[in-house]
Amino acid sequence: MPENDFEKKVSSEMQELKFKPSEKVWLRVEERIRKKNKRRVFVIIFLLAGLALLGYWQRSNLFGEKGTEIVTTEKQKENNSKTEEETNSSSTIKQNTETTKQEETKNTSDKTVNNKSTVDRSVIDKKDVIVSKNEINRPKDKIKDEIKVKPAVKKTKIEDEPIVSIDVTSPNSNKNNPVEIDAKAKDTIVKTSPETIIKQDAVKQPEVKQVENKIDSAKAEVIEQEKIDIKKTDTLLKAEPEKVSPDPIVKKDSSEKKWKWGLHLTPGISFLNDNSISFGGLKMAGALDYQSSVGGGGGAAPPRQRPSDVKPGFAFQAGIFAQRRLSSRTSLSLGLQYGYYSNRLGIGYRRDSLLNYSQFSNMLDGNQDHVYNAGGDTVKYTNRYHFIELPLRFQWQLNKSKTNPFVWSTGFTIGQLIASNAIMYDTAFNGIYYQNKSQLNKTQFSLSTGFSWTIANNKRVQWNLGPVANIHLNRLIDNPFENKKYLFFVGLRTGILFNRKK
Amino acid sequence: MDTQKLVKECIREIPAAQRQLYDHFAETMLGICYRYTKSMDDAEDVLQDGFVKVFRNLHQYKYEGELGGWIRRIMVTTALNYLKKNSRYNHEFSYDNENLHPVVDDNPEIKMTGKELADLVRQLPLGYQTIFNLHAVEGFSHVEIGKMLGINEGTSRSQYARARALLISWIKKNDEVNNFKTGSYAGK
Repeated sequence: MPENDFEKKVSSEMQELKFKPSEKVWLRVEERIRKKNKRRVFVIIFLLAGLALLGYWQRSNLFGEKGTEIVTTEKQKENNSKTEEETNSSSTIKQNTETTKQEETKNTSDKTVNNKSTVDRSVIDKKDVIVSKNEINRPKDKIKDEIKVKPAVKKTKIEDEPIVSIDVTSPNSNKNNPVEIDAKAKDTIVKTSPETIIKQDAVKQPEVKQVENKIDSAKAEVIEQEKIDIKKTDTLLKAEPEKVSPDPIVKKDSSEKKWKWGLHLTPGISFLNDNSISFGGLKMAGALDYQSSVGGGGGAAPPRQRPSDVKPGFAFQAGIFAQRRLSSRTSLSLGLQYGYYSNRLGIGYRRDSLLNYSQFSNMLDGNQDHVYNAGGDTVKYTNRYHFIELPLRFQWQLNKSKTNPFVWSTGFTIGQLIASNAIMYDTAFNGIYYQNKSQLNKTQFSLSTGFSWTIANNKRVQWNLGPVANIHLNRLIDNPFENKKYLFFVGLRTGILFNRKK
Repeated sequence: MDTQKLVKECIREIPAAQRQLYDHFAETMLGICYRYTKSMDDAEDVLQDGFVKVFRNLHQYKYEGELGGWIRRIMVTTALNYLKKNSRYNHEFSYDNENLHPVVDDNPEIKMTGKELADLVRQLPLGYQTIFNLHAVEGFSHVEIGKMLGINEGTSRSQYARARALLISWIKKNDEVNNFKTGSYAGK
């Protein structure tokens, strides 16, 4: 047997070796393939759910409390009107025609207030939040007024009873000391309804004829007192709409909560981040093209070159964005930007002659001009990637300063690769580099985070500056003979935000 | 089989096409996995991992060369990764502490089937087995093997020589036993 015949014989025998795998192998393979697809769907659902939750949280933060306030205010209004009605009814019984007239005036003013509030409520539905804030402020004032009104009305009640009863029981007591009388007669007054008081009056009047004149004078005093009180109440109610003045701070918010727009430029560096977990096969993968190797088997073939190390390159992002304030310390921005990323690698001499080999030409992309030898450091090649991106960022102000906010931002970006000159490693021909766009994942999803300081803030523009980082979630290059590569970007963001004219 | 159509359908994740591709190549690929492992269960594990990789990366196949060759490369890579990662093989995957065997510079006539030969190769220590498979069967040079396994070229050469010698001695013994059984040994 001649030299190497042993290897040839072994090789031919072994190549023909075949075994039928058990059915469970396919079942597992199928399960894993499907699982991966499911995982993709779950990731998308998870991201969408996250965004939805964020939106819901923001919405509830913005409108939830105000909604409650509005409801509370309406309830308070109802309660107040009830109290007023009760007060009115009790006083009406005792008051004369003049009082009734005044009460009518009071009711009219109430109606005016109610009508106004109804109009305002309709405005809440139609207009933005600021109007509703005004509406919210209004009842608060009213409540204050109510608080002012209530004691006066009660006082009237209290004064009614003691003056009469004191006159009956102790005619010599001091009429001008209602406080003392109040203290004594408090329980009776609280428990006694207006009807009872009238009945009591009716019973007492025929019995105590001697003090009739005094009662009359007392009644007159009571009426006068009530007149004064009602006048006071009336004045307060009438003055109420005048007191409600639009809050200037709220107005300021209204302009802040509209969309503002801005520009940004973020120079930095980008690099391809290897996934170290799956690196086990890298060295082997780099040298595994025994099938397409020119040398074929045996030791005659030249050594195959490994993929070159990829170094970071210049990158930048530039674009426009629209920003909307969600609350006093949070905001959301949507943008459209151009992203340029690059990385550098040292490669060997050109092997364009390979393009002439008909047997190899179908292996390479038709559009490319050059093929490079892997290994060596003859040529410094820059892989360039041009993206159009849609960033969505959520910003959270970490400090309380209004003039120089310090903001943490995080977000999600969808990008589409529009052009690239990137070259890919292939184990063919003992290791070459050539353009292979089919290995590029054109749609990229990335997470971003960063901080920014407002360095200048005036009425027209707001300048901010801070570091940002983008981590791409899916592989940029899908090459079975190289590691999984994810794009990573770090930069310094300079932004300018245009404030709206006030 | 229209490879191009089949690959496209597999990329579109049509189950029937995926099954067809698997059925077409599974037996050959299990033969490869079998040579690199010590048991059929392990070989099937490698086959499973390898086919998952194949289906996930099929969009990168460019229709040049044979699809079988492309899948084969992935299987060999997967097998080597499996040997490195699997704890059962880790302690065996050593290249320097093997028992020395005399180098037999001989080219015996092989009367064995592929299966018998593969079984003999699988009885070699793991390091020998791997290097023997990579050089004698897959056709890698010792430089390439050295890079792949992270060893020196010289180590690969010496390991291969030892593996070859050991295997030849086993083949000879096997032949003697067979001759003895058939009676041809006595006649000689």
